[in-house]
Amino acid sequence: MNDRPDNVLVERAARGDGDSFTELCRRYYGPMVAIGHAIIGDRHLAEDAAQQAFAKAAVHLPGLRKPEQFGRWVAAICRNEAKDLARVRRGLSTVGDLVEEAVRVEGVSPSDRGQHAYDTVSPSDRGLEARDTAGEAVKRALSRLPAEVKEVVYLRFYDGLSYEQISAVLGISEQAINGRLRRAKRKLAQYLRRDGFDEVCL
Amino acid sequence: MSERKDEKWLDSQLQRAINGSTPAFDAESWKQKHRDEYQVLLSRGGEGKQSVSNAGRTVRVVWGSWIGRLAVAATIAVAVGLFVLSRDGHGPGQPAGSPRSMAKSPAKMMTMMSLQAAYRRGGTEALDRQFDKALKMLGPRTTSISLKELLEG
Repeated sequence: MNDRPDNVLVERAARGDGDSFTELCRRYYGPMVAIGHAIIGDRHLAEDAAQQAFAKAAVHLPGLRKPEQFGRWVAAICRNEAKDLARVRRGLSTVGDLVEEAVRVEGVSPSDRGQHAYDTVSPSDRGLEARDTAGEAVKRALSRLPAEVKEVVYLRFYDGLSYEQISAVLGISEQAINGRLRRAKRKLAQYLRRDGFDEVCL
Repeated sequence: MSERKDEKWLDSQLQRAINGSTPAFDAESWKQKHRDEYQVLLSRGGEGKQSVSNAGRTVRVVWGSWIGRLAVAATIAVAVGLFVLSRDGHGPGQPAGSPRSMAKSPAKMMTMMSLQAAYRRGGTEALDRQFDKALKMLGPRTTSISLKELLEG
């Protein structure tokens, strides 16, 4: 079952073979979670988006005209699901904003709390903190990347997907994937330099 | 910092920032969570099997009765006849390629070849005429005559 090409599994699944469909889900779960994570920015919601995408695919599978493009097709469904969940999440985040506001009204500003936290960290932990700061800066830079470029970065670094696997999901050539990755890294370096990481140059 | 080191550093930072560990698909949990959708998928297999079993049942019913067998045999005979006619390239109403000699006796007139030639010449009307002609040639006969005697006359 594992070595069968996508089109064979899709045709069997469209005829009601549950095992073939499950195999397709296993094959594409990682890439779908990566795509969802790139859009939503949350691992658990990304998994929800991926699972919703497979549920929709199960219903609409006979409508897929090119079975060999299953990955690309389910990725498009997953993007829509992730965007919907991201909209819901944005709505929920306003509750977080309210909590922040309540803290501010009590007289402790977030920056004060940040300074207090810095003072209580021992010097030996400062190295770890510096590393975390770099991590945060990279996360911020990632969030500023254009969606299509960010998606390639997530697919590449989420699960160490090969260019071939990424190509099956995005429907673009391996050369194009390489080009997008290089552009993404140059952009990230640029954002990081603006964020105070002067030594980064690509 | 060299360019190569910078890119390596950025790769490791990306790895940490994205923090992706291989997500495993839990098939059983998914089937439970999306039971309706999974049932829709499985039901398509049921439709396919159903149509196959219906076809099998039809074949068994037809082949089980003598009328069914007779109907199948008649259909095959008609199909073969039409095939032979179409291969010769002459249907009813089409002019025959060369004049054929008429059968001399009623028995010869009733052979398949003779009937076929008549059909080619003028379709069912020509066949009727040939039957009439054969009966006239035989003349009045008693009702007790056998088919063999009829055709030998």
